This record gives sequence, C-alpha cells and structure tokens, in this order.
Amino acid sequence: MLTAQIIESFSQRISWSTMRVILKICDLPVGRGWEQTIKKLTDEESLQDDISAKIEQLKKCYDNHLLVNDKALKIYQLERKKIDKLIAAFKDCKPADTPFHQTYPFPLFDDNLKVVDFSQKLVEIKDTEDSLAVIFCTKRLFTERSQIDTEKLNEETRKDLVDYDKIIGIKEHYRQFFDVVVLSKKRNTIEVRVDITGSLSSEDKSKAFFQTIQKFNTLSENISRIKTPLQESINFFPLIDNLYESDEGNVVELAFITDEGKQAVDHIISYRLAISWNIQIYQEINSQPELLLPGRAQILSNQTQYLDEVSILNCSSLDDYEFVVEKIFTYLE
Amino acid sequence: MIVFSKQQIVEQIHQDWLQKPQLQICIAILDYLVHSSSQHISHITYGSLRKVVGKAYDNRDLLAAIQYLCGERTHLLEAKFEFIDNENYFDISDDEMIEARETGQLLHPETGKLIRDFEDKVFIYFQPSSVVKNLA
Repeated sequence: MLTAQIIESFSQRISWSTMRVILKICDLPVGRGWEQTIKKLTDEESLQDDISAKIEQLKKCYDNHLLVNDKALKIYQLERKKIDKLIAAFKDCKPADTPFHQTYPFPLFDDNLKVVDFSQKLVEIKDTEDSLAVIFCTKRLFTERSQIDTEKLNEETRKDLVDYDKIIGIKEHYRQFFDVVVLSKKRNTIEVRVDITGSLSSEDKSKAFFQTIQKFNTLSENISRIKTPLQESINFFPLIDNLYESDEGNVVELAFITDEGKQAVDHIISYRLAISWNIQIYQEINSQPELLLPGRAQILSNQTQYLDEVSILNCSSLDDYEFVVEKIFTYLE
Repeated sequence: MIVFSKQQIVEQIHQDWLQKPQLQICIAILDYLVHSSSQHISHITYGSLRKVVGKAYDNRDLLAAIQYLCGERTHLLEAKFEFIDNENYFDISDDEMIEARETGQLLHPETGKLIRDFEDKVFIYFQPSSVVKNLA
C-alpha cells in the first residue's frame, strides 16, 4: 500500500524519466511506466523480505523531493545571529494539526482537498545538519489547457466548429502545493522555494511567493520577535552573463537582444537563460537538473537590471538541488 | 552641420568629468559607439550600456553618464521611447509621449485601444546621434 502511494504521489509531481533515475538510486526494479512499476514492486514485496529497506529509501527520496522539486526560488541574505535565532524559535514550534495531516507527506485525495480552505498551512519543521526547513501546504486553483478532440463531439457541434483549426479547453482544478522556506546553517541565507510542479503561470507564481513570504514573516514575528526577516531578495541578473560565458552545463534556452539589428550577433545582451547539467549516477543513468533564469526583455530597458527569482527543475535528489545552488553562489560572486 | 572629431569629444569629456568615474564610463560608451559601426546600431538599452561598461561602476554613475551623453555637451546618444507589450516593441514618438503624459492616456499602436498603466510599459532606449554618425 505504501509503495503504491509513494509511486502515485511521485507520478503527480515528476516526469517518468526522473522517476526512473530515483528508482535506480534506490536500487529498485523499473517497469514499463507507472502502473507496471507499482505492480512489479508490490509483487517483489510479497516475494522478498529485503525490499523493505529499499522502499524506506524510496520514501526518503519522496520526502526530500518535496523540498526541492520543482521549485521557483528567491534567496534572502540575513545576519547569522538572526538566522540562528529564527532556527532556535522554529525548532520549538510544533505545527498544529491541519486537514493536510490526514495524508501528509502525501497529497490529499481530490474529494478531501475540495473541502479544505485556501489558506497556507504549516505542516512540518524539518531539522537537518545543514538547514532547517519550514514546510507549508496550500490548496490552489490550477489552470490546465488541453486540446479538445473534436472527433468525439456530435456532428452538429463539429459543423459549428468547422472553421477552427484547434479547440482548446481550459480546466480549472484544485491541487495541493508544497512550499518550503529553508534557513541555512552553512550560508547566511534564507531560501523561499515555491512549488511550481506542473508549470504555474507567472501570475500564480507571484501569488504563491507573496503568500509564502507573508506567512513566514508573520510566523517569524510571532515566535521570535524578528520583524519581517524576508525583505529584499538577491538579484540573480548577473548570473545570466556569468553562466553563459562559463563552460557550465548545456545551454537549453537563451533569449537576447542585439543593438545592431540582424547583421550582427557579436554584441548580444541576454535576458533569459536555462542551463542543464548531466550528472551521471550509474552507467547510462543520468540526472539532468536544470536552472532557469526567467528574465523578460523589459528588464534590459529598466534603469537597473533586477531578477529576483530563478527556477530549479528536474532534480532527482537533494544532491542535485544543492549542486545547482552551489553553482548559483559560485557564479554570483 | 558642425563635424566633431573623436579627439575633440574625448577632450570635452575629460574637461567635464575630470577624475570622476563618469569619465571612464563615457569614454567606454564612446569607444563602443565608434567601433560598432554606428549605422548598424539601432536599439541600445540601459542593459546593453551596462554590459559595455562592465560591473566595476555604480549604477548611479552609469545613469549620470548616460544622461550626460544625451545632453547638449556631447549629444552622442538620442533617447527614444518604446512601448513593450509581451516582448513586442512599438516606437512611440516624443509628441505621442508628451500627449500621453498630458492626457494620461496612451493608445496601443496596433489595436488603438487604451493601454492600462502605460507608464509601466513605456521604456527609454537609445540610438547613436547624428554627432556619432558624422564623426570626423
């Protein structure tokens, strides 16, 4: 039961190729697709005793995955003294029981999620050697666009729509998001990681940041008397040039303007960049974490170039995420 | 039309800024304009000028230098307005911008509809002035 729940929860959040990497990391067999894999694992569970340790590891991967994948990120720099005070205060803080705890760390079933309100709820405080993570769950309305197959419509409706090449349907449904605020014990930083699984619109992402930052600031003031610890976040804009000019990873997306019209591309000014790295885990099994610096052309027309968020995608483990964050700090210097 | 040489402009910049950081910034931008075959340069943003001068200079110094280069002393840069709508660029003339500021209304150049909060969507960019194009 637990095995199926872990795999099904993963399936709502990551691609099959990332799932394969995670299964390999846990030394578990991989089936053809999600359902076959669940079957294969549950069959093995009934045959072998020693698989339980690997399933435990898979569960740990899931817990870690909630902290790092896929996240839009803002970073705030704070004095060490204040971060330590916040860590001490949050360590003593016990999250109240919420409807999300019925299934946490797994998401609620749709029917149960329907009756939950939209406020952000503190669900867990996780203390590790390197950081303290404050985890929130939130129900948000998620908008999905998909093409309607007109062949399935009746003849009369098909006639009415004959002039259209594509019919797009917009479906709004509720989803549970896992947003995290991480207080580092190594760096003097606090990271706000907003859950963007399933690619959120930029408006929804801004709302999620606003909600998480406000919630964390209010909580911090209540439990530690530190007023508004999250104020001005780090400017990531210099990373675009620094990473583009480096030999790091593979450039998977680049957007730029040039001063010189079509004739020349030797003086390009970039405003958006995505880089992915190929990290070999086992032979023929690679993890491909990606860093997206999601600037827009308008940034270059502003008097100061400021990019206050990045996205970290496709991580298969905490190590992948930490690898990308290390690159951020290396190339910001 | 009076034609200046690059040397005359460099002297003017030295005279106006003495040892201040703007001296180096202005010279770097002048070099960029001269070396980049100015006929081809048509759209210079604040971001591109930041790239030209590098990270060593403060933003306030850069902005002061740009303002100076647009002014009467050298007039190397011409400031223009543009409306940016979802990565689409539309030029806005000085007259249209004056009118928009007087009336508080700017019409979308393509749809003709009123643009909400137009001040947030209109940006300045620069072009090399006739002084640069006619440098001796």
